[in-house]
Amino acid sequence: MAERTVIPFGPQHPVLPEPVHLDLVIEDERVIEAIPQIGFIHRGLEKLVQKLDYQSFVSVTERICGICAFGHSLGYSETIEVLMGVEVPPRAEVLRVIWHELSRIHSHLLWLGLLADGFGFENLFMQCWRLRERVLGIFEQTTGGRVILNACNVGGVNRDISNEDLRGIVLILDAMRDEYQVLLKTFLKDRSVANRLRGIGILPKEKAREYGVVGPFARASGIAEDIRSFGYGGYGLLHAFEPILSEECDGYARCKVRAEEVLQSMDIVAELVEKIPDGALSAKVKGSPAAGSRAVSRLEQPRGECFYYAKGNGTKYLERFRIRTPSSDNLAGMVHTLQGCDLADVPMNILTIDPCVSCTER
Amino acid sequence: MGFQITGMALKNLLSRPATKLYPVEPQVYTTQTRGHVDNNMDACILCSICVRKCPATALAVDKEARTWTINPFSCVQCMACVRACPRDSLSMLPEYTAVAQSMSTRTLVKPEDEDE
Amino acid sequence: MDPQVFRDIELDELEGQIRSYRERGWRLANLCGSSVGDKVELLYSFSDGPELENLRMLVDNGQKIPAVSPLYPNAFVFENEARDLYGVVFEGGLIDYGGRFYSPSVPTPMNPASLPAQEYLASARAAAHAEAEGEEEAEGEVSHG
Repeated sequence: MAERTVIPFGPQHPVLPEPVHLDLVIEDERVIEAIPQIGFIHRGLEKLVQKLDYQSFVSVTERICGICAFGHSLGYSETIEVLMGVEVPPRAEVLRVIWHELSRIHSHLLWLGLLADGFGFENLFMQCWRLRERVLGIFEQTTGGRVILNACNVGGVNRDISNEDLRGIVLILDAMRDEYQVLLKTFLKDRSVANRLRGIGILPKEKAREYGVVGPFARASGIAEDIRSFGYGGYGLLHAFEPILSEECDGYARCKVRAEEVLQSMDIVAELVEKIPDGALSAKVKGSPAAGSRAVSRLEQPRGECFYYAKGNGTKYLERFRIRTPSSDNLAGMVHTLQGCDLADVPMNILTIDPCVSCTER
Repeated sequence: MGFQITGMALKNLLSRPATKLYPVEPQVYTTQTRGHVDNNMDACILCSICVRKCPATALAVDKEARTWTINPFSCVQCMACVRACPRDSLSMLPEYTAVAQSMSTRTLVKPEDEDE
Repeated sequence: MDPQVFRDIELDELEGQIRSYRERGWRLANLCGSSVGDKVELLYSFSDGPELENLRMLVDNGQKIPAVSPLYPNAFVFENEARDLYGVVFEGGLIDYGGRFYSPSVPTPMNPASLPAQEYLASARAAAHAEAEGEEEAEGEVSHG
């Protein structure tokens, strides 16, 4: 009978970009149980909604996380628009989707780079981040910021991209696509990558359903759930949307789903640039959310479904604003996949699930 | 299956670096870059709308002293003030605020009108 | 736009409702608290593809709530969060951190009406009072001397 030991993992660890602590109960080299501990970067941003009026609060939501920055401002704005019954102009909706999909490309490339770095493939890591830099360049050219875009506000967007610039973005993405194919081939076909990722952190489909996981984590386990496929907002203009799935359920599948979603996002941007309607950029938003009004909305963030809930109280300050981020939903699934895995696979396992701790804690 | 990276590694050896040799090669700002807020005090009417719109409470207006004050280290460059300004006296310029040893504010004084 | 379905339920209906959603294969999309006067409102959201339904329940501060995490394991994060920020105590949860998940420096910062927050405020006030009196005494001594 092997002896049980508790090994603390994190909050600071070379593979973790953000602080999450795990108590790993191990027997020999095998993890029996993992207990997560977060709370190192809880900033109470949900409470701040009572101090800043609903229009200024967009600036705060954008700063919840540096990777999903635009997504959170978009999700917040959409929720307040539902709450107040604001009709967003179609051009604004499409521009929002374009920025959001570009954010997804940058987030997935960042993640692919971190993954490559995690298994010691420094060259691949740098190649991924070199490509990501171009997306950040597009952000800087169109909004003036590389991380905090500040383009979305309640009622629409506050800056335009001219149709000519939009075609320029597609050209940049097309040039990127060729270089990205080489990286994609490396991630999916290289023997050293496959050796490190195959069979790591298996979460079968029925378990994925039970643990309520979302995003690429769920899609890699064969669950066809993607908020984008419901056609809300600008996604309604797409002629078809098929979530990218994999039935392999392991770390490799998660890598594959994310890697292919980059190409899918490039296609979405190209298609929407063709179809973008002309017109106003922002609707006038007047007054305050009514007392007792409630709204929920969901958005597909790079890491999965994000849930927003807002409650008005008749003043320009919201009563309550809740963000249930994809990573907080995936935490239970992550703990489950850690059970029974090798101690040496723990970092890779956590990395393929990609918990974003800043989002989780807000 | 095989090692796919060999070609990429060879290319790395032969191609130029992707990074910029900053500061020898200066950073070029885009026209959109949000660096710092400036106020044209001749056009400013000291109406304080920017102060109310600022989410970071980085602005202050003193009507008695005819001054407009910004704390550039609190400012988050969100452009809420620039968009809200009724006289378009505020503008966003691309240069970032220089690094400093201590946080300081910048105060601009509105010149007295000639015909007053 | 997501469907906006809100239903009010009572505490005794909760377990039956959650079981019925679980049996139909819906997933728990969200569980969060919000403070309403001296009560706490809990919102349970369930989703199945594009469908989304929200259950709203008003509970008293300090009331014990049956946990949903045995049925929906992903809820353990939300439950511990509600406990730390609102003082809602869930019974029978999967992992119970006992108020040490976020470890806020002030008890239940989002719900000032909860008992721990009230106790904390009272003790903080008493400490401030004692300090003020202590200062007065010190000043008094100086004037006597």
